[in-house]
Amino acid sequence: MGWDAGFLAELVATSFGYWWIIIPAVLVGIVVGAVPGFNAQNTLIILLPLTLTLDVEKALVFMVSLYCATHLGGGIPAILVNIPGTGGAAATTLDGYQMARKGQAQQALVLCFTSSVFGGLITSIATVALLPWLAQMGYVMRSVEMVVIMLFGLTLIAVIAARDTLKGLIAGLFGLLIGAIGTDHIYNTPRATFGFLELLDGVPLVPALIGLFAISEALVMLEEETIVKRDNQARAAQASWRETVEGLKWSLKGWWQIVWTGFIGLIIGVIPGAGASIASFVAYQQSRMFSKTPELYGTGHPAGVLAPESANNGVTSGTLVPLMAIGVPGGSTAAVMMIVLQYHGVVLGPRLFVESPSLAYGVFVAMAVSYVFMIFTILPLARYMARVTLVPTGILVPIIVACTIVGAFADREYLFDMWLALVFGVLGYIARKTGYHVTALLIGIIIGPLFEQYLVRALRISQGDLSILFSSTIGNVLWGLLVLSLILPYLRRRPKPVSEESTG
Amino acid sequence: MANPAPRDGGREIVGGDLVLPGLAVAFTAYFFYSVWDLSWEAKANATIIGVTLLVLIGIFVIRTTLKVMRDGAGIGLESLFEPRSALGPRLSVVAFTALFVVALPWLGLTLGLFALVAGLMLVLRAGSWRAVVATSATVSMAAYLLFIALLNSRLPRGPIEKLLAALF
Repeated sequence: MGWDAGFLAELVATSFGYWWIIIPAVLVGIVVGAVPGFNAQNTLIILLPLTLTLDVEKALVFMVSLYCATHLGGGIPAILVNIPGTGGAAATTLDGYQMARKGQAQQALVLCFTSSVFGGLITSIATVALLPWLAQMGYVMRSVEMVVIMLFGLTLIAVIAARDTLKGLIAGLFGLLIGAIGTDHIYNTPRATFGFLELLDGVPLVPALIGLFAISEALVMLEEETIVKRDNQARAAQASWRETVEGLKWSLKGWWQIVWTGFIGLIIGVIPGAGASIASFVAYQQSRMFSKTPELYGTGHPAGVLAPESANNGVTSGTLVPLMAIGVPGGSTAAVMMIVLQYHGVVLGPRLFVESPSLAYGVFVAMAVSYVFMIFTILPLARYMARVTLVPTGILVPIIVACTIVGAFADREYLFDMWLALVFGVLGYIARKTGYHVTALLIGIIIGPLFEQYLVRALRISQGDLSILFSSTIGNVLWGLLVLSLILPYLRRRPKPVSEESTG
Repeated sequence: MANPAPRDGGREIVGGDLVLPGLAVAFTAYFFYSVWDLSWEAKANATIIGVTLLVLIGIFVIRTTLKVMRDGAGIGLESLFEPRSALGPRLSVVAFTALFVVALPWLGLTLGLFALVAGLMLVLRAGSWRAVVATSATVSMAAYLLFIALLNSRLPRGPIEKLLAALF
């Protein structure tokens, strides 16, 4: 492979030497991840003048540190105000917000930080070792497999997020159809755009995220005086460093969960297009499936924060694998990184590992080092961040609405997107009040365009024959898992003949 | 955050559950109409998703009808409006936000945000007038610094932005 222990030690030492780049990048990344409407991709675009002037190694260290930190930052508002900063943190709301409502926001934040950091750290180290094999995955996944993976992901979300699977599936498919708005991929003919030119490129994700999560949550939040339930307010107000230590103990107890769910994130991250939103839900579902206390998930269970956050950060190294190994970006942020690397004359692909191993492997080492810096930067802040849950909703709601509605504009700079966020806000409110989980809707919208792209590609190969969707072995295994994930919850609900085990 | 089904004197109320499927059916019909004359590549995705969605909604409607007929569940829309005490503030949030977007081209970002936050805090009775002014001013000035001064975004400029541009 062209590298040894000495080479690796040199890479680690070099990465630590870039602390002056990593720390600001981490701080910017955490803020960017925590604010809905901002993401690593548009921040890196804004900061292109900086990354293009830095030399290639420093630019890469800056970009990966910022990218990893946004994945961690997205969990903060998901826990504190039930608004995920990024799509990858949507699964964190399920248990993180419930913990905050119980007065355990600080512990939930610590769980989020530790699982993010250690999930990201372990998977980035593993990527360095497994890179040649992981790179092959991009070749195995073709359009048929991608269609099934996306349907599988959406089904899991429907089963997990909604109490009623049928409602979850309706919300997910409704989201997929909304995601199909815009011009088609072959002839560019507009479909279901309601006559708006702004929808020709499809439904923008940022206003959809802001509307479905932030505005609808603000409308629901008005029912309570504070986020923390009245009975738990005293407990939350008296929170001290003890709660941080307690969160660390819970994290330590769940170390194995962090490890294996991180690897789920890594593997899903390698598949171009699958992304953090699907990875975190798959990890959540797997964690619940293998848990001795699955009934506690969704009620503020620590494992319900550990699993999605670890997977969410396992994705970060995964998305960079196809970029470095075969020159295909695994996501939109990786695409921006590719532009910067190409500007600096870096030729991505297998030759990179022979010609510039320090750069090819250095990316993942820098990622691991940035996670080390991250834990020391963010952990002490958990205690102070948790105070947000005690702010009266009368103050919190106006601030959330004001900040997020402007955030809806930030991505494409259209006033139209603010209206869109408001429409999605009302839709999200209806969904929340009637038990259709907004997450299923959002994930449908996110994967909608990619789903259509792969579906049409598969159907063109088969000249419109739908049986092609059942023509691959991997695809058929995934179909089997999809059906199993629909049936299993019903089977598990059947009464047990033996006495129930303690829930702990 | 899925709310448990509301009850009216022990009776489950399920009417609200049909609102989202109703919207989905209307949207699916519109989608089908918009792709009717297009090539199969342009409508394959919508057809597969739309038909599956309609089948699931059909099953859901049958299930809900059985609940109404067999268990005597109500078909009101109470679940959308409960608790009644929060209805006024909710409508205010939607109305104020819509007004903000309408007035933004004239007021500009800073003044618009100040008015939005202050208006909502007053409606929600969120504290003394000092707290209202301080919070609104902080939010609007932070937005000005980030979006106008730092990022130079295309957000509308109003009197405050023009004044500050003339001064600096």
